[in-house]
Amino acid sequence: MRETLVRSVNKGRDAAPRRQPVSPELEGDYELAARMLEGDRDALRLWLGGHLPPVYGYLLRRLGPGREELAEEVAKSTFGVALRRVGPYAKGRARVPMRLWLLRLAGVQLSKRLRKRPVPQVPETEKQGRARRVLAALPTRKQEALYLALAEGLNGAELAAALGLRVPGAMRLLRSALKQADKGLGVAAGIYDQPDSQGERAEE
Amino acid sequence: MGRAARSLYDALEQLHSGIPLNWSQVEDDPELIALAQLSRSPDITEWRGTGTPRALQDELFEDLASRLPTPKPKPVKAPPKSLAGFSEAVPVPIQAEEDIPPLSANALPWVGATLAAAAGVALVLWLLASLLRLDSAPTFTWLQLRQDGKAVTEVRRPPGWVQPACRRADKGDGTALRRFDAPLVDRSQAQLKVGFPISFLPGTLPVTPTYGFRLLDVSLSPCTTDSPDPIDPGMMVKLTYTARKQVNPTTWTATSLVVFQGRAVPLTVNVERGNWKRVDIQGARGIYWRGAPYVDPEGKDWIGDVSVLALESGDRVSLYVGQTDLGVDEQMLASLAGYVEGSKLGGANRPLPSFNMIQLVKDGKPLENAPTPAARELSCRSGGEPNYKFEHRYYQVTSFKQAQAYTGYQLFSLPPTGEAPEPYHSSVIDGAVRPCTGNAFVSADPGASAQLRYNVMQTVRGKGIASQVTMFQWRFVPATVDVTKGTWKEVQLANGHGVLWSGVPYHDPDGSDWSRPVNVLVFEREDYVITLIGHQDEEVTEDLLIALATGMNR
Repeated sequence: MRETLVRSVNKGRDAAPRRQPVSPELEGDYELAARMLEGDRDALRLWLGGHLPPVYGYLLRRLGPGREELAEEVAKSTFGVALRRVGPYAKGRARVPMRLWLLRLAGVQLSKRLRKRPVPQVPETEKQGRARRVLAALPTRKQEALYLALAEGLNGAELAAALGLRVPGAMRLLRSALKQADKGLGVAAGIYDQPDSQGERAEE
Repeated sequence: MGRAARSLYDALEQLHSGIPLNWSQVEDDPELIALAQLSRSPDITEWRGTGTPRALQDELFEDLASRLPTPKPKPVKAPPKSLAGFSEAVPVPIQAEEDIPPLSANALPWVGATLAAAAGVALVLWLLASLLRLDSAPTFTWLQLRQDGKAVTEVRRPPGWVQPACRRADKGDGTALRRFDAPLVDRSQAQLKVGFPISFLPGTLPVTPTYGFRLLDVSLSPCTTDSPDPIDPGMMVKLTYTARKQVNPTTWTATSLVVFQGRAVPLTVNVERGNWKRVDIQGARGIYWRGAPYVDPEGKDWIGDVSVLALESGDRVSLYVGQTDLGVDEQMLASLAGYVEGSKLGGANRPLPSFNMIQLVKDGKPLENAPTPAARELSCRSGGEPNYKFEHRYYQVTSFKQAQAYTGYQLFSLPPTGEAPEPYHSSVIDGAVRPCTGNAFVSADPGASAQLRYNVMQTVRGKGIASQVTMFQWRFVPATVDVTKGTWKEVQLANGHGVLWSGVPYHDPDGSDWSRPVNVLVFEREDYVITLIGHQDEEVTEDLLIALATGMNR
């Protein structure tokens, strides 16, 4: 495992460098970024091939059907910004996997774009679009937390990294978002069915 | 982390593993109830939109590529000077550095003798090479190696073969560059437009070190037609992969690997320098070349340290290109091509595999000429006729621990995470045990068989896919694989040997019929037989099954 050196200063004395292990995923991110900044077009192609589909998919799921053009616009600005800021990866200093960092960037670019020119909700059927409409009414940051957790299936640590928060802070944000969403969803009013009981085998 | 944050964190972990939250977990927590409900909401979690438009990727690539710095050319080493008295054109065999004695004080008395002997051998080889040069160049049907503009290998086309008149290239003799259409992401869509079976690479190669391959796209180069058409005799296919090599348990190198394929089309490897050798891999013949630079059939420049493997097998040609120093070396290409060429063998030409515990059957009878596993007698501890002879049912257990308690051997379990080549996570859903005899569980029953069902979460083409894999395992007792229908091939794993079967319907050891197309891996490992089954439409691919089997542990 390649390791990065982290110097810790201990009361005026230089302590022995403390080595922090780096995951294979981050290793791959570092290498790709370094090659891109050396002008390697193959590396750029690999980077886009691997990261564009999940980012575009995330934007499409945030925006909903009929918003493909807007998703493309935001995807382009996301990767444009990302290429300018990929230096920490090339130098082996970034600590967040690139796929999560790109999701965060995409969320930021989307917020900026929607603040500049808000888009109206695409009309959807009553039952089909209810959850999406409830989420759309939440503040942007809470929407982001919910979509990353639900639509992108991130676990707690990944969600925190993608939101740029520590884990407890990310959990607080998500809980607050769920509380607000709960009011709009009306679970207690029985609009949604009860979950299935656990352990039923699917029939072939 | 407080209790509320911890419960939410754990709930996310469970959802991330593909296991839905159940009522008893969330009933006292309104926010977790909302999470459980939203996680089942199709318009949030299931709607995936359309795929990424190719035009978006191309446009973004062109835009961002223009912002990249100009790559610095790597210094080209001057060729080493030849020994005095010998022509530089002498084809001296490549000598490993270990063979050269070090110039140490102890070696000095021997240096003169060693050099004299080496010079003598080289002289003899040079004389022989001069005499035999005209007869030593290999002859191929479709491939040719040209070095510095001169043909190094001979070509003999089949009698009656007519060179296709390509519309887009000046000539179809393998030297002109090919223009490839906009890439397709979907394999089946690409296959429909090509008149020969495209050989896609496996997701992982079950050798040491482990290699992983992820297909980025497929491009087609029509020859006689304007757009890709299966009737086009000169069509070429280009597959672009990310190739990863595991250098140690926690580190991988990744690089690009491009594969060109065609049928009955000339393929020329044009180089200036470098070293080459003739290769024979699983019945395919060809050339391995290493050096730089290299221009591939599309006209793309490969610089640095490049490996090229060009093969022909019958009327099929293939060419693999990648960076040697990033893992696409001779060893990898040979292993990969061996796997691909081995997979092509089919029908009467395929040698039948020999197993210790797996019997191939067709129309109710052992497959002709297939070796029969040695007969084993399984005696159950509590006496009585063994259940495996009657396709006895399996009985539900409540946990993996309980399944373990009722079997007399350490159970195998699927790896919780891995890559195939995309990342996946697995978690057990439920299990069942078939006792050796009768219908009552017996503690530590060595003749019992276990069935475990798993959730497997994968990332496929950028989206999360949840699928189920069912695993059966038992010890000492042979298994039969019915190859009357479907397709099958032998699989050599790092830790087992078996058969991959695909088709429908499939009758599993529990007596259930799988009525949608499945992939099934049955393999023997020591004296165990393990079966993995999953639906093809749930993305339970051959690559996934091989990765799960390879990563399995007790």
